[in-house]
Amino acid sequence: MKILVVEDDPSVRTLVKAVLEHNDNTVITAETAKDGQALATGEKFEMIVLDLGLPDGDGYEVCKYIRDEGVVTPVLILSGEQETDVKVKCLKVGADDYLTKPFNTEELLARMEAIQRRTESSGDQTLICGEINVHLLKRECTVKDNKLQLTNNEFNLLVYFIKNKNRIITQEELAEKVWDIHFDTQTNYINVYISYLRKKIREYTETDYIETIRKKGFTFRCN
Amino acid sequence: MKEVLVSGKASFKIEVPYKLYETGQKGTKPLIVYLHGFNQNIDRFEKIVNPLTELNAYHLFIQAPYPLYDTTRSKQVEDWGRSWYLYDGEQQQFVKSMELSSEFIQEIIDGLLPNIEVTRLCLFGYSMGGYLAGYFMLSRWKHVNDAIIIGARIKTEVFSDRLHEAKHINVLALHGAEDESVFPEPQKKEIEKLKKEDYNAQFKLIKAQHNLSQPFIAESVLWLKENGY
Repeated sequence: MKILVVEDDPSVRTLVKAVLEHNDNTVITAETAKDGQALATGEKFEMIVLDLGLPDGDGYEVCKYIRDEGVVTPVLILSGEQETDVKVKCLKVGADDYLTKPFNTEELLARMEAIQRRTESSGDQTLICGEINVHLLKRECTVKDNKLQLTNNEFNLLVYFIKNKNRIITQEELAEKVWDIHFDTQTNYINVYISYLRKKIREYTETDYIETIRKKGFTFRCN
Repeated sequence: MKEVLVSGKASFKIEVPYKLYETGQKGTKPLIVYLHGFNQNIDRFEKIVNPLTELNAYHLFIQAPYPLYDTTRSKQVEDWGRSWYLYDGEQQQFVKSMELSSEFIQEIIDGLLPNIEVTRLCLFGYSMGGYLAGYFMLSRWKHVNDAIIIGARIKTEVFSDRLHEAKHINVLALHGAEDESVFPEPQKKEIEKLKKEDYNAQFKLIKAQHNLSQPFIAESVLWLKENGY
């Protein structure tokens, strides 16, 4: 993991750097708010460890600045302040977690691991199929950068299709996996939803992603 | 002469129970975290929300930390109701107390996640637990995908500058039309505010009072199924 450590106290900076490097991370350090902001917005990091008390500003300002600049990298704040108010203030400016100094290095690593896991499980969950882009977390879908307005069922159907692309999917399978019900041959609601979805996608592209395989089901083509 | 030499605060540790269930087929699935109301406890709440545990998911029940002393001495300690936070009407204290409880919930979730494969996380909060769910979802938005908040208000004012960050969260707010403990109108306004921030948020009035009755549970099951649970 590439980590930015913004800390003015040389002893803490050296310790954090050594611990993180010992655990197979690449560490870049900054000593001031100004340098920290420049690095955080100019380079891509997977984690930022940020001290609250910096010589030319405070960690709140740095965190707020980088969030306002659109940087979503997880931020762990370090501070000597133990008050819950301080932690609330950190969360309000966009930090992910807060660790009180002095801390033991195992606690630091455990917190970072937990933040990382959270970010991985909820972070950049994007499915891409040709011109279609689906963001699972935001439940948003775009075709050639045009946002589709999908209902929940249409969204779930599209996600299932993309996750099972290029193979035949039966109506029974869709009923069970997308709607969680048994398929009833007397109704055609699956066909209806597929036609809605097909129509919405075709508004922005010539490509027909959903292919009907007669008497078998459907295939979502992603090449 | 009386002189204060030192004053401060120190933590006192109490043990608070939680239970994690798995229902349906083994493997990767969503996690639903249940936060009960004031003067309820983990066992009572589990019984009330039982239909939700039929969904294919992990179900995490956490008991609130602060015990409510039973002055009648008619109940065993484990049957006492519990509270999630300390509230005296003072807003700063309120937020501080919700933060402490959120840290505690986060610690439990963080401890479980290495051992289970979770696809999404839903908060289910009722009344006092609903206020807390609203705070948790906005303060720890990377954790949360869906939230069901019943008979409470999401305190959006605490994170008013950063509401946009949590807009991926699907929110269902259910409220009793005849609720006289927590009036529905303020929550309706909060949901409108979230919608303006592009949230997929719904406010539904249920023909009920404040009590967590079965129509609330039925609506929640339906909504979760629509959202892929």
